[in-house]
Amino acid sequence: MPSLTIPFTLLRASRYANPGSEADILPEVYGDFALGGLSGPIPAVLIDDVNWVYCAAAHAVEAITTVYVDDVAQSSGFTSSVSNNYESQGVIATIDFTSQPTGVVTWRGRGKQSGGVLVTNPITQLEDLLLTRGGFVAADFEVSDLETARTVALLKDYQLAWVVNDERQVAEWLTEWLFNVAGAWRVTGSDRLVLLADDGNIPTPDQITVNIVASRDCGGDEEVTISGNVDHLVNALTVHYLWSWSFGQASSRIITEEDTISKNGHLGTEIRKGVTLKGHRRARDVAAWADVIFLRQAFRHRRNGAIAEFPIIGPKFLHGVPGDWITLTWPWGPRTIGESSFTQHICKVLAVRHELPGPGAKTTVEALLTGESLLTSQGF
Amino acid sequence: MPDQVRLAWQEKRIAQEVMLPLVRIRTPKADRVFGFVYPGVGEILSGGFFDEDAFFDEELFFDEGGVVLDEGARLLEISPIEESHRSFDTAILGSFGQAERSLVIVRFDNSDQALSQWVGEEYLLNAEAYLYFTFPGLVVTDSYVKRTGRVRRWVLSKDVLTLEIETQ
Repeated sequence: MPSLTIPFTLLRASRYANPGSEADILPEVYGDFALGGLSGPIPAVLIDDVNWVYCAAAHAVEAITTVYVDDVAQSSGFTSSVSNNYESQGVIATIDFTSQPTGVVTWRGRGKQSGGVLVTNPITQLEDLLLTRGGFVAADFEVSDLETARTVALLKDYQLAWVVNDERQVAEWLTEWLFNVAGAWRVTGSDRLVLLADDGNIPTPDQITVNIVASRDCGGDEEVTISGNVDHLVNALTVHYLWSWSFGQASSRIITEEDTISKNGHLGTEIRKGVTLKGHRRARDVAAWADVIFLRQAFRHRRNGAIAEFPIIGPKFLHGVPGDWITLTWPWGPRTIGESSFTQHICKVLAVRHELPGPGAKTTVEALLTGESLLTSQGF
Repeated sequence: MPDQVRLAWQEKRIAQEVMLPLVRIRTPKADRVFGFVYPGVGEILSGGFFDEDAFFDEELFFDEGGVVLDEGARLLEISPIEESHRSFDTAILGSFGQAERSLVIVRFDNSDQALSQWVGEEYLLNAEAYLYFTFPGLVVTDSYVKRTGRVRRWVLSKDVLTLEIETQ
């Protein structure tokens, strides 16, 4: 698998005969920028300062709907092309001005297609970016996880939009991209990339990797702790979205996303946090994302968001990895109304620490409580 | 422990006139009051605990009925309370002047698992917390040290519930 600590191999203006600035990066444009936000969210790059040709995207796009010069929409004086093999350097999208534009050129429209269809699924977008500019091949992905994440994004109806035109490390992009779908990534021991997206659902019994019983698997009940931290608590969000990649700032924000039950429960206290979702351009995507975050971290049911930490004695958990669903049974766990014991509580593994050598070999697991028990959620 | 034995033990403890801490945690449902000895022992220990000039409006809560869920001799340990001008969060520039903010760690006995239920049923994070250090016989509102705070973190382990309280 290629390194994740280097930038994407993005195209630069230097490949053309008369660029404005040779070092300028040609933008990779994914998703629908046609609506929402202010003026032109996508910067264009001057690639011919003799004929005043700008690169709109480093690949063919679905549409260039509006072109702006210094934030003013242009109705004439240019020709845009969604697919142009300019100077025989490969197909890009261009904006060709008849005379020198008098300011910064930006545009809005719809980005890269696949099979004639606009790519809006964030996981498919990321996969395409890694394959075309990250040096990845299909075998570098953990296929089943990739398809699961793609399906989650599809079912949540996430339609995100991105412009990639900087030299941030691939790992940074992965983190931000997946943060926008409440997801995560990791690299497996066999050097494959795992992409995860969280749908906010409680897993079914067949998705549970292992059932941990503290007295049996942890070497006793003493080794287990469950903790709740106010740093993890959030019940109101200020979400900045509709990011303008031209101006480097969000065009709008949503302040109404909140978890009322959690707010009321915590003595009416609002624990508000601000986030910027650069990939989001629709309020419904923001709402879907916020639902997942609240479900995991609002402590709506007191326990969802708490973290269990416990050792596993022996090799039982050697194959356990972050992202796995497990259950925990521990008599001292937090019990809620009508619950006689803390039994088979569903947790998501956050971290696994292996202490391998020697007779005291053990694995310490950190897992996020969902607040649901396998018994109650499945109607037992 | 039989009641008589318990009371005798408590009275002996009180007779030593050590300073006694009380920790009161307020959740939307009810308060719990924890001490090294049974906080509800009465006039000897906390005669003025429910005075109307208390830190907060007791009557408001008692009007609603049954708001003190538990007064238990559950307090196992309480960390020192530090009073300082040091910044609580060293990552925040210019936060000197947050006087008296500190983190107080208290540990409660949970061998009967009653607090496991408390944690599971009530919104404990960010809940209001009140700390009193007082001498036996003094009304609580005349405590030597009084602090209000919020619960930052709870940790359940076998038999023990630990609360980290950020005082303000």
